[in-house]
Amino acid sequence: MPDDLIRLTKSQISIIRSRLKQDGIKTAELVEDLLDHFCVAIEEKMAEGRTFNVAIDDAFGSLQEDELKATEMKTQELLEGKKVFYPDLFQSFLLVLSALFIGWLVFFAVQAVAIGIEDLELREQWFEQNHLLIFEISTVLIFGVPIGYAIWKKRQMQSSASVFSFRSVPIYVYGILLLIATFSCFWLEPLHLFIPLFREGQEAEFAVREEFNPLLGIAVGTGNMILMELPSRGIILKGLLMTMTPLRAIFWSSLLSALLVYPYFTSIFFLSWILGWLYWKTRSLYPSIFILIAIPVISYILAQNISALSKSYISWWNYVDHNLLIYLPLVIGSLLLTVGLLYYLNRRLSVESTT
Amino acid sequence: MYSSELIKGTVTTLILKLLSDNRRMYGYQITQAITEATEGKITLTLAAIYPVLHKLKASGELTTEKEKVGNRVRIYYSLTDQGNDTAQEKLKEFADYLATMKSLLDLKPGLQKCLTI
Repeated sequence: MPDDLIRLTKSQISIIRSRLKQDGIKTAELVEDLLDHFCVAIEEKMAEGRTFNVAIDDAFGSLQEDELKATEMKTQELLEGKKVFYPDLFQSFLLVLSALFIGWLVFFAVQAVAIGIEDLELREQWFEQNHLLIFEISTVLIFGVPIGYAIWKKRQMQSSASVFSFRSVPIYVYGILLLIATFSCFWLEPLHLFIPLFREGQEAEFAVREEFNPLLGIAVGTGNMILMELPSRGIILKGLLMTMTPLRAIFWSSLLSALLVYPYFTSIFFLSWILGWLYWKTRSLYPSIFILIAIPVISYILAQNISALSKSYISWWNYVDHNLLIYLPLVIGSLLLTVGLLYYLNRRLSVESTT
Repeated sequence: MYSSELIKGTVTTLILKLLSDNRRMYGYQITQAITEATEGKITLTLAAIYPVLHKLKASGELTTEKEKVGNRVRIYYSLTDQGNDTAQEKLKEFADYLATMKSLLDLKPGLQKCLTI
């Protein structure tokens, strides 16, 4: 294309941008593409002697009926999958409840089999030996139900889009996320330490982790978290973002993902706000999965070096000898630094999508 | 002008082919190149080209560079190594498809017989 054509002014470009948005173009990168497309077309028409107003009417007038809306919808469909195979809020609740029900059912069914062993001592021994395995089977089933649902729906729709969004994210994002994960180790602790909804469940899992090789415990825990991310952000949040505002979608998906891992309800609910926001900004599961891997790994590394009580995770509350005067500034400071980093990341990502 | 049904399945191959022949191209340039090369027989609508470009970028076949042109930003698309491989595969598949269609539509005696029944 010739580059020595008339160049549109900022206000003329702003008119075209408004027109695109008015006609239904929302995806940031699509706006930039189409803006340039229309600018070139209009500049060519103006070079032939038409005024800007005539040229813009000609350019938009040459489109087929609802062509811009179709472009937006098709882009969304190819990138995100058809709306129909992602659940709305009611379906999301149903999915989470069914997943929990199936997980529990298997957990209790296996227990019932164990109870069938008549000798009490043998029964307890069997249960202790197989606790982690039973727990993992029910966890995989809990998360597997929503994943299976989405894959089944996608097949039904014969869609070519991937169920899960794994888009590449600039490398600097991971650097910022590493810092966020480090600071989150501090402020997340009081959430499950002081506001535990299911203390027994948590303690049982920590006890299991301590019994086994700490690295195996971390690998299993991290695997579970990744498995949680697929239905939580990959399916539920993705579906909710199609039907409600980002804020509401992030709130409901955080609540539902915290329900899926109810022993950690409080901490996962708050952490999910960050994970949900990351997904919404990047439309990729990589950043949230990265955070979920980084937090336990950082905690493990710190525990290896400074914790005397546990070699699999570090408790800052124990480390500072339950001294609130040290603990409180540590928690508040880390929270403020996390918020600051998120603010910085938001600005960097916003610049990325508009320049 | 060909019908949109006929063009639909070929857009990805057309884009990949154009980008394998040119180092980088922007959206409008791609649509114009196709219109000119086919003497107007194939004119891609916005809904045919841009969603495919974004899909190919998301799946790692294309990469983008942003450049300031006057008072706006232009997005240039180019093939990644993975995209280059996909382009070769798609072109090979398409050539094979064309050969099959040609032999089918050249109305072999057997097929001619079937069609007249």
